[in-house]
Amino acid sequence: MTKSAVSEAVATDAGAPAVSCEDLVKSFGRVEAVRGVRFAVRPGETVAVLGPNGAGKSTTVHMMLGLFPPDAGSIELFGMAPEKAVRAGRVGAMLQEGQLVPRVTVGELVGFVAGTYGSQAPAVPHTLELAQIADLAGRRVDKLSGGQMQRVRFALALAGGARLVVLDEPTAALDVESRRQLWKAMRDYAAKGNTVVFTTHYLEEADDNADRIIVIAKGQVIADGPAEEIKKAAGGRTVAFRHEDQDPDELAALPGVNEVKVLHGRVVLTTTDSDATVAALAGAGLPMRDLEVAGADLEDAFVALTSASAEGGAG
Amino acid sequence: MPAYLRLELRRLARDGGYLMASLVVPVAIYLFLGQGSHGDLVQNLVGTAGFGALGVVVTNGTSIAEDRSRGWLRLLRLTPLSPLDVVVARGLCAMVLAVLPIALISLLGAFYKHVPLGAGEWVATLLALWFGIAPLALLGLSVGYLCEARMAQVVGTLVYVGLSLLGGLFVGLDSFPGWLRALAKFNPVYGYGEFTRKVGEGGAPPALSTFVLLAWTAAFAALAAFAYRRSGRYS
Ligand SMILES: Nc1ncnc2c1ncn2[C@@H]1O[C@H](COP(=O)(O)OP(=O)(O)OP(=O)(O)O)[C@@H](O)[C@H]1O
Ligand SMILES: [Mg+2]
Repeated sequence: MTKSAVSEAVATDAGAPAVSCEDLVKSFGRVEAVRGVRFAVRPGETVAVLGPNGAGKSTTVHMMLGLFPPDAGSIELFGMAPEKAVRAGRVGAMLQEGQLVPRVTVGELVGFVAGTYGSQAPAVPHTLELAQIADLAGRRVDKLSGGQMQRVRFALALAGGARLVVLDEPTAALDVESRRQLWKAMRDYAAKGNTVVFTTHYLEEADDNADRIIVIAKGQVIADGPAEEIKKAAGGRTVAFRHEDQDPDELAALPGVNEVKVLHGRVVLTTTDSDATVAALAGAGLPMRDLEVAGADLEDAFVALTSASAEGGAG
Repeated sequence: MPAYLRLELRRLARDGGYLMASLVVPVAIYLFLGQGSHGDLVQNLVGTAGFGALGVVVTNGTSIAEDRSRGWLRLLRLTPLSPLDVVVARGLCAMVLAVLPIALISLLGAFYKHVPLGAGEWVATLLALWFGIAPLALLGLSVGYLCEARMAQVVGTLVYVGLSLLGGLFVGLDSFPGWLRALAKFNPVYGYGEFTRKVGEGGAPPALSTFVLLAWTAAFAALAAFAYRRSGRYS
């Protein structure tokens, strides 16, 4: 890292957004992977980029990290070109795919990456602890299980103490407990004032862990806003229970409820605020045996959002 | 960069199988070659040591292609490490590796084959063998950065075997047809062989092969820089 890169970083840093993407376009041959993506992330924000397979999330992430340039449009991280921000130690990243290089131990690899960031990097044992891999420190990285490897890659993203961390589907291969721990580590990292951008397929994950959600489909941003707004636009969640003698009109009048359906002997309410709906159900003393609350199906949500954006609504 | 060089050297040190394999062939060839005149002794020494050095610097290059396929180059690009430091460290790795066959063959030469060289001649020969391999180390880097993993293996082998055969590292050029002999003069491996042999025989570095080596060093450095930049986009 050169001195000039650092001092310039300090000079351009104040007030610049952590991420600023302007009308990004990227094609691979005839595949238009990204078609005009535009968004900005403020320092300290945690943003989820949500979208189905092939939406263009990873392509956008790669361009954000300076791995390849966009065909059109521009990107700045903290007011700098991505490569420069990376060189200045501002960015930690975890890509979606990637094995790890053979014949290095977990401790050596994390230590090496931390070392490239200089004094801003937290102590290696601390990072290993955060990523729940302290017990793997002496193991060769190429001899780990898929989920363990993924935790190592997560550790590499945090190892430098960078102010912006970009995670492309960080929980894909993890079991439930590792997933929970990873999100906790990520939220702790964000709570220190750092900026986090992550991608996911799951509205729930985005909702639980991000301040804001950017929905991408077919290479375009189709919604961008606080989780509550996105959930509302996407049809929110479903509350289901056994169908007894509840009055459909009374159910439809509950707070948040958009739709009432009876399917296979169960009442299914679509709601923008499942907490309020369940509380009101309980308050009204309505029977709700075998209660289930679930996120709305993401495919439906994308359909809802896409048609909304086509009508000139969201996005 | 020292940290990165250390990490790569540690990875190499743990690859015992590869290190053994890369030394077996030159050692076997050297032991197999008979005794002979002073000139033959020197030719055999520098020929096999050079062949061994060529082998390791080429495989050092092709292993880069393998590392890329595992996402290692991309991971490095996402750290604050300077891209130039990464290439330079990779080149230095090749040079460190080259010490192994050169040292091993020279030890065999001195203590088993009793090649009659004075201390000064030994130093000059070892330095010539070591510095002279630099352009080929750069060629190795270029192959690694230009080619996909499997292609790099093929191209690496072609470079290794093809250039050493055509460069007259073992068989003198006398058996070649005239046009091939003329071409061979510009082969970097021929330049390397000539250069090290002349130095080994106690002469001054010959002008033509010194020039050929320097020219190839410049050309392969440019190629490696180009290859590295190009690979950045796709790694
Ligand atoms: N290197 C590439 N060459 C050709 N096409 C590509 C390449 N990378 C991505 N694509 C195409 O671009 C589109 C967007 O891919 P991208 O990887 O960005 O999607 P994604 O949103 O990350 O999907 P996923 O959720 O499956 O990871 C896809 O149609 C994909 O096939
Ligand atoms: Mg992806």
